[in-house]
Amino acid sequence: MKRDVVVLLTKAPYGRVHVPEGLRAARGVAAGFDQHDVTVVFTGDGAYAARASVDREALNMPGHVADLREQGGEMVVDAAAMAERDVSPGEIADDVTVRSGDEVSTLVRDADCTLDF
Amino acid sequence: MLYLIDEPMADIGLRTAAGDPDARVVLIQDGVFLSPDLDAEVYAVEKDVDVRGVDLPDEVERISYDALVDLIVEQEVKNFV
Repeated sequence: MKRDVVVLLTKAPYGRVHVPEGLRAARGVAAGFDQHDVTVVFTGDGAYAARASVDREALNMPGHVADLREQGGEMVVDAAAMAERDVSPGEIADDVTVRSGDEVSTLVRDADCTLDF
Repeated sequence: MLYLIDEPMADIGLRTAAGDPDARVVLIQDGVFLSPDLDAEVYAVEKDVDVRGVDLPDEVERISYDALVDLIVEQEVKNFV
């Protein structure tokens, strides 16, 4: 049965594995037999990981991101978290969509399941 | 819907609960330090309150772990712990 799954990435990118492991989980959920609808949300300090200047190779992200997108998964960043951290929309990577704080909380509230990393 | 909220994810947790007219919020672990400005029933886990010596605002009600388990079983839960 197809579900609506939101994966929250809440930790800053460097020095820990939460971002790549969250993306690995997201791609796994998207690729599974049921092919759930997956949205990855960069929120909290995770907003730093949505920036274009992040070294994705160092974070082992490219493979996970490519598979996620191949399965129709989406990546969004929380504008409210960006504002709190002075991250501007112009800094965000091209494959990440900026969504308002209200849109993100509605996304989370309406999801069938949320995973946080 | 029941919202379990700890301090590290308080921002997105409280923001998500704020848009839900049926929200019931439970502050857990370091979340008991929070004083959320919400139009909803707000509880704080009494054991976490006591070990931290927190003085709860009047609008926040104490709840035992046993009662919390009953709440969790009864309804859908959004976890921000």
